[in-house]
Amino acid sequence: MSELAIRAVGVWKAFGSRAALQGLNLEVPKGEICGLLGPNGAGKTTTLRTILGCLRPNRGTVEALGLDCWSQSPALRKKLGYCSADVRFYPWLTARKALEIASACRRHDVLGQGLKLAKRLDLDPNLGAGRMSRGNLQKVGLVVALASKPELLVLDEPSSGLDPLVQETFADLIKEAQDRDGTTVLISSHTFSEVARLCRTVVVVKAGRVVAGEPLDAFRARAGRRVVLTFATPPQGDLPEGLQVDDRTDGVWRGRWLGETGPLLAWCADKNLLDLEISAPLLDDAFLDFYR
Amino acid sequence: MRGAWRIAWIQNRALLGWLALVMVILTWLLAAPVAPMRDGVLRLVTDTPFLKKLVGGVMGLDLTGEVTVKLLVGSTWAHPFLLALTWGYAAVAACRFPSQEVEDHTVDFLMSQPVSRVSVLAAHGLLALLGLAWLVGFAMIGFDLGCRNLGADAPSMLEMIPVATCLFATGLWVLGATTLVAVHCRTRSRVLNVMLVFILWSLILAYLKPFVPWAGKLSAFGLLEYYRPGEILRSAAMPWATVGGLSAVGFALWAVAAWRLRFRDL
Repeated sequence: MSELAIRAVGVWKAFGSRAALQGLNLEVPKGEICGLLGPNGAGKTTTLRTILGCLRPNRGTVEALGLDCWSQSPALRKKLGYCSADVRFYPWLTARKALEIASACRRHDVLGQGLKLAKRLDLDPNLGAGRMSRGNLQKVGLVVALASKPELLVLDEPSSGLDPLVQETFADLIKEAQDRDGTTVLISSHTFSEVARLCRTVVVVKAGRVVAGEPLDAFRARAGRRVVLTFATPPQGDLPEGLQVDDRTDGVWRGRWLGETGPLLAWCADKNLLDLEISAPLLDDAFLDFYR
Repeated sequence: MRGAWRIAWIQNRALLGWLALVMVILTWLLAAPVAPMRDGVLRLVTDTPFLKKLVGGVMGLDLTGEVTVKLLVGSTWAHPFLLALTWGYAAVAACRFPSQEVEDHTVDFLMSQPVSRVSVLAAHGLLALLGLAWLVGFAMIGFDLGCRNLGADAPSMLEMIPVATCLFATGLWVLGATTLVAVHCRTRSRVLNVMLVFILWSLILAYLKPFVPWAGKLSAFGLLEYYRPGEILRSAAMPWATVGGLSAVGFALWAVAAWRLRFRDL
């Protein structure tokens, strides 16, 4: 079994009477890029902030890089980079000052690396946060998180607010960090395409618990493929196992096919079929299935 | 702590600059008019029992005896504006971390760096402490400038040091108390409201004390009971017990706040 970068066991966290985490168990191997998916209020941000050491679990333990996330958080943060979903800074803070402060806190210079990252993300390092757009604030957050070349990157919806071109650059930066330094990355996201592009494993959180955690391909396979079958005469009788029809209109059936495509083609062979469309498995469908 | 210190410094420097200027002007404005109007004001205070009691109450002094020019000009140090500036600064500086940072969502930046919460609190606390000393220093400068035309009747800077030290100690108490409230609140406005109520309560008690018996009984629960510039001026001695007590309680409140901060969510 590979070494774990993050290990959460039976974590409970309540805010007043509302339980945000209800026995969450999470394991992320070292060097992995793991996507954390879930709807609003599922407990994604609470999970990430618990790893950061900002929130104290009511029960259970959370460890990252072999350190307890609550009691050893300053030591852990030496090896960790974090960018929140709603990045906000002091109005006077520029990317340059943020990097200088980060250098002072970390006791090693991250300014040079940070300025290189700022250039790649097309960010003016001397612009004050008070005059920045949401996208630029997000860039500063990412630059600060990545500049120290951390062993573990914890990113909460990192690309929200970024334009598609910058999202591309961001994805490249994450992949480079993972390839070059073996950085472990935990990304919470609502953007399935981003998760599909970046992550090798996916964890789905629902009501404060992990309801699925597996490699991306296996996860995607759960969803099956979207199919559109157009018949001259719609067939009667039983459907083959694996075919789920959601809509039947004028001989056109729309639905999903679970499994290899061979059996579907074999079933279609004698069904007076005019046309057949099969799409690649979609992560969106797999994700949405967990919430239906 | 260097990173946290730098943030605290940048956040406070403009405020400290402006407040220092206001402090000089305020204390100068309060002290300077005493010289040209000294006879009239002295007669007014001496001949008006209500005013005499009021000034005495605020200055923490029984003014049944002679009212001197020194005491009259010394009332500058009990003026509500001066107290509000000093204590207000202490309260505002003390609630920056964690309550304001949590409210503004800026706390994530520092908390994603390898710094402990207590070191961030210490950076803010230390800067607030130095800021207090800076403001009290400028109050002394303004007061000294305002007293220049009083001639021989003017209290010397040396005589004012015990008063200024006692004011600083009250600021330190406010700093400690505000920090303790701030670590239990998620919004700055709530912290400031609590402290504002307490400061107003202290002022009201001091004003009512000479006139209403119950205010006298409750005065121990107001901050002005421990800050008596008139008494200090008359005795011309450093009130070590009061200064030491206020400082010790202020530090103790801060220490409890730092301990509590270790357990709260940010």
